[in-house]
Amino acid sequence: MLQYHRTLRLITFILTTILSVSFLGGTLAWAEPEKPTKLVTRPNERHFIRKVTQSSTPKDKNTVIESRVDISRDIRDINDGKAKKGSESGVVTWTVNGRTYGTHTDGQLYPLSGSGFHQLNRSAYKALGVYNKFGDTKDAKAILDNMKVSSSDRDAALKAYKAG
Amino acid sequence: MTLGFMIRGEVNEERLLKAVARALGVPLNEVARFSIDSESDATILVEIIHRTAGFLTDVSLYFDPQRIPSIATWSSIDVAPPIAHDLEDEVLVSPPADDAYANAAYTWYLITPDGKRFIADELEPDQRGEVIEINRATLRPT
Repeated sequence: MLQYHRTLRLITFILTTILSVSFLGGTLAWAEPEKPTKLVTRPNERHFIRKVTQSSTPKDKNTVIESRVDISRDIRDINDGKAKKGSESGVVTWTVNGRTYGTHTDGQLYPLSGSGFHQLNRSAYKALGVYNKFGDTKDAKAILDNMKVSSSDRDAALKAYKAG
Repeated sequence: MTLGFMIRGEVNEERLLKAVARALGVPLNEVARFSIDSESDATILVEIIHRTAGFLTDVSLYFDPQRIPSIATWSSIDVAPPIAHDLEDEVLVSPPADDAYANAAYTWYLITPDGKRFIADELEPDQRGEVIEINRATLRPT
């Protein structure tokens, strides 16, 4: 009899666990696809690794995009309601194909995090502009020496530059 | 290390270098304009890029933090208020690293000459990414 009750409790526990997990998972998986109220558009050129120049506008934190990222597909998928909507500091975010974007109020996307994105501080971003113009050369090194760019910031910029 | 900010109006080089020296607390002779074509041993190198619209003077400050430990932990938001006050002009700067908007690419801090700070969104970012103008309807206190 005792064995019967133990077995029953175990079965109840397992069923409850399965139902809970299914419910939580189901909530995420079955969330209604949501389309943006305003169509999202391509990020500004200053966010594309190959487009960064010495004149591009830097911020203290910058996220740049490798050229291999299929931005058009991400944009299409977001506008088709295939992305997961989120929020960060009151800004609407969209996660799709392993990447999360923020949106300007006019719908223009910007990269936040994910596959094919690199986060650079101001110094590394400026260094990327130098590498894009001069390549990984002695000239670039001399300019970056003059700019007092640290080795860690050069490494970050070079990694982005090589990733393209 | 690099700090940076944008000034609403056009500022001549001499006036800007003086303002930078005062803001950072270094002698004026240790501040020089950055040129990609020449080396300089100045403590602070100032890169000035003139924009065609929006905030017209884009400034980057390059320095070795080991040479001036007093500002080694500064971020751009620390240098912007004294610059705005000195030049009597609005200055646009990145939100501080610990700010909720630090990662928002099209959101800035606007610093007024009297030291007031506002959060500001860009006005339809231009596609080339070189002209920055703010939408004043989005101004809100920090």
